[in-house]
Order: sequence, then structure tokens, then C-alpha cells
Amino acid sequence: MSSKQKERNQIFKDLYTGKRPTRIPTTITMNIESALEHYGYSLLREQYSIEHCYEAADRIAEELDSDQIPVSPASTNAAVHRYVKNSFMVPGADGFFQHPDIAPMEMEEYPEFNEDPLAFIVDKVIPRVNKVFDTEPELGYVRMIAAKKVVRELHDGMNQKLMDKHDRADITQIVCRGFAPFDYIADYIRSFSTMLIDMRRKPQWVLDACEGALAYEIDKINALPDPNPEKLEEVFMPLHMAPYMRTKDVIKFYWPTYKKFVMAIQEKGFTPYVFYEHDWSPHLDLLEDMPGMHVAKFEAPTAELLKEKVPSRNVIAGVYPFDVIRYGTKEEVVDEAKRIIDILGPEGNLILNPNKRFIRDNDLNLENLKVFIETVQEYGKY
Amino acid sequence: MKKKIVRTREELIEAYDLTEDDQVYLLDIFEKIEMEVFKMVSAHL
Repeated sequence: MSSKQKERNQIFKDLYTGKRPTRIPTTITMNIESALEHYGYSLLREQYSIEHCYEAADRIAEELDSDQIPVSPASTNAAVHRYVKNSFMVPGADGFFQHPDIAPMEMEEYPEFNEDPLAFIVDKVIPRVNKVFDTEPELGYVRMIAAKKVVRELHDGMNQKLMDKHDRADITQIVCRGFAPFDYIADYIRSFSTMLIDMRRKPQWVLDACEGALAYEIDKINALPDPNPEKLEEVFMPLHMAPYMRTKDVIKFYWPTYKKFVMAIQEKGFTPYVFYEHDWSPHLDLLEDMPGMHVAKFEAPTAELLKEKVPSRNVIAGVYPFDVIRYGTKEEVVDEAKRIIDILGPEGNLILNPNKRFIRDNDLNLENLKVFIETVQEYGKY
Repeated sequence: MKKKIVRTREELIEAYDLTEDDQVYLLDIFEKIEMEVFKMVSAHL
């Protein structure tokens, strides 16, 4: 391991253990699709090429000296979605996958779900979502597991190879994707639109379903191998629905099971890496109620509000406006980075990264990203 | 169509209605998955 890679690992280790690092780290969150398109590849064809995905991720890492690799070549499950005919992830005419707002469970099925959530997910939800079950119900799970295994093995070792080649931190690792229980029901069992109606019509059914989803999510975490003490292993959790709810509804329906899930992740020894998507500004007082440390990435609240509301035992990430990277001048990119560092930097608990994921080539402005990274690495020194 | 557990490339093209683009890289992955399915269902042997 190079000294630069060691130094980068130490920065994250310090951050995650409550020490002030030598400087503020910067990371980029990007889909492999944006990298492929940036180098002129077609999503219709090359997103299924393991070699081209690696090559695109390698070239982006060559361009952007962020503290972690900017994009993983394994960040797409496109081939798995196609093989199992996943109706949650459907390719458009240009090959890019979208998540349609569909509800695999009917309203009147809540009691059956609440009776045994795991059985309902296994017997009903997964077969309804993955159309491979339609023609071969007895082989559906075999085909699904085989597809995931093959695609995972095709990408094996690629991230580590890129981290070593480009001297990037390799101490943090996402071991699992988790969901706030309310989001799990909204995203995968009902739908974004129906969930908010369910909450009004049958509040107790929704509350019971959140408890059921919580038990399922905790079982998933507890089924993972114990954390590797040499690594900072994370459970990544993107939060969806709370910004569309009133705070009193968040307190009743969303927060209790979300909080219990975060505590279960901490208890197992993993770090929750939570992306508070959209605008959590009205609900930020709730963070005082969350025990322990988690990485809290924010999209919309201002740096000033985050400084006031987010307890310093947590690591703050995100914050930097995506649109400044995408459309700003070089001076605006530098000024905004310095402004945020002046506000949130002094606590020593900041990872500065653009507040949204770079999804398509249109989102990418590599020159501004380079300026952003250089500014944070220089101005963010302690 | 008669059910087949492990499908050929031609059968995969038909079952998934694979385009010319799909047949460049995706089909190779599907073929590997079919072999993995075979390994799994024959694991008792």
C-alpha cells in the first residue's frame, strides 16, 4: 500500500472515530452509466461489457483525484435486471434504467403482510416484481441467485484494483444496502404515491407494516458476517419519503423504526451511511434524538442550518450544490467550496462531496470537478 | 414452448427478445448465468 493510500485511509479512520483528520476528504458519487456515456459508449450495448465498465471507471479515476474512486465499475446490476425481468428497474429506449412507481402489494393485503412479512415478500412480492417467475415459478429464485452470483463474480476484485492503482482509500466498504422501514414499504411493497394515502386510511396497518419491515431489515443485517476490524464497513441507506411528509407524521410513522434500524446497524458494528435525500430541513431537530454516530449525507439543507442542527458526533457529508459543479464558473466552484468549509469545517467532521449523484454524461463537468477536488484538498487542510 | 432449464444462445435470444446490441455483451452474461443455473440445480449429484 502506498503512503498516499495510507494517508487517505487514516483520514477516514480519524473521521469515523471522532478525531479531527489532517484534512477534509472529498468524494464523488457517480453512476457507471455517466462514465460510459462520457467516453462515447452506448448504454444499450456497453453497460453490459465488464471490460468497458472497468475501462470507463479507470479513466474517470485518472481524471478525478477524489479520496475514494469516483465510480465503481460494478455499480450497475443491469444484466441481472434484464435476466430476471425486474419490473422495478426497466430500461428506457436509450438503455438507461428507471424505477417506475408500481405497487406489488394491494391495499387489502396489509394484514397478510403484517402476519408474516418475510413469507409475503418471498411468496408474493418478489415473484410479482420479477417476471422470470411468471413462466418458471419453481426456478425463479435459482435464476435470480445465479444471475446475481455471476455478475458479482465478473466484477470481483475490480474496485480493489482501481483503488490500488490510483492510490485511493480502501478502508471504507459498503457491505449492504438498507432501508428505513417506511421507505422499504413505499419503495418495494406499495408505492411512493399509494403509501401516503395508506397512512391516512389505515394508519395502524402502516405502523404494523413498518415494524414488520424493521424486523426483516434487522435480520438482514444480523445475517451478515461480523465486521472486519481492519475496515470501516458501512450499511448504505438512502432515505426517500420523509421530505414529503409533515414532521408530526414523520415522528409517528417514519422515525421510530428508522431510528431502531440505525441502532441495530451500530450494534452489529457497522457504520450507517445515510443519504438524507431531498429536503430534510423541517425535520432536522430529530437528529438530536439519534444516538451514536452515523454518516449523514445531505442534499438540500443549507450549511448554516446543518451546523446548527446536526450533532457533531456525526459525520456530515454531501452539502455541496451539484448545480454549481454542473453550471458554475471556476471561481464560483472555488468560492462555494471555501464558503461551506468555513461554516462546517471547524468541527472536523466533514466529508465534502456534491449533494447529488452524477447519473448521466449531461451531469458531468469534469473541469469543475477537478477544481472542486483541488480546492477542498488544499483549503480543507487542518 | 417446452420448458428448458439450460437454454442455448438462440433460445435466450428468443426468450428475452434480445436485440443486436444485446447480443454483443449481454448474451454472453446470460449464457454464463445459464451454466450457473445448471451448477445449482445439479448440486445434489
